[in-house]
Amino acid sequence: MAHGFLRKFEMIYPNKLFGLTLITSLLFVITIKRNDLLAIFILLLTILINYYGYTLRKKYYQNNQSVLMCELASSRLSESLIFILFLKPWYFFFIINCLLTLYTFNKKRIITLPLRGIFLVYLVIDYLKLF
Amino acid sequence: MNSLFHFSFSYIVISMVFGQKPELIPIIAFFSIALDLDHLPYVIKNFRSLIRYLRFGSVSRTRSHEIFGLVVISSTIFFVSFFYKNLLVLQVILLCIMLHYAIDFLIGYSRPFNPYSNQEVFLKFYSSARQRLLLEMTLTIAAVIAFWLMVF
Repeated sequence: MAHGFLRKFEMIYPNKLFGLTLITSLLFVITIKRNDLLAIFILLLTILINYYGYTLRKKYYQNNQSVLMCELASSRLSESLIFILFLKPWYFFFIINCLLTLYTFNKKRIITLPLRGIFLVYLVIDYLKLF
Repeated sequence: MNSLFHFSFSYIVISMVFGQKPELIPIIAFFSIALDLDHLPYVIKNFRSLIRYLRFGSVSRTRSHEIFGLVVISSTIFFVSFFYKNLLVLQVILLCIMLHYAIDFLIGYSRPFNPYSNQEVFLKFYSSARQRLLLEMTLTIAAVIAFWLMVF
């Protein structure tokens, strides 16, 4: 039973998951001014959904250029939404990340910065007032 | 997605993020649909087929509608933010534009890496033209009603 459920879960088209990260990024923007903890949770959810989409792409769509492009584009769009309220310096890093994506797109290895992960750590540190 | 949805949805999201700002409606109206100006040359050139099939497709979008344009616009606004001190207006403009990119990416066909690659990307949230029409109509009506209730 559980195996069947998991199997169904694995059949999700990764592009749909990447699209979902845009919706959760939008939810993050809406919640960040009202509830920090909820926003952090939504950002974590965004990263996890994106990671799951990445693993599905690696497993089933290794040679599919369209799915790879969807992953890259949705990641950049998600960052563009998330960092709107944190213009300086995060938007600068986002622009660098976009340029890196465009520059390395046709190369053997695509290089991008895990900005959302770094931003999550920053938010958690800020929330817990660790420093 | 149509201009009416872009505008009303942008206003709803901006109201949820920054609070009700009726004085910003002209700015939101312009910047939420400004990206679609790149369709104009295509519309003029293919007017008859557009009327017949009512479908734009990814070929109607120039590179300004893709990641290339996203970088150029983001860089410009980020640069302007060092001189223009009204951060709220800049953030509203940026949110309008980014929402436009996100909505178009979610709903339609796009070529995100144009001009480096012409490969199309589609998220498969619907499977036929009829479903797309239904989705677009439902979302537009819902967004316009929500906008109307918020403003009036």
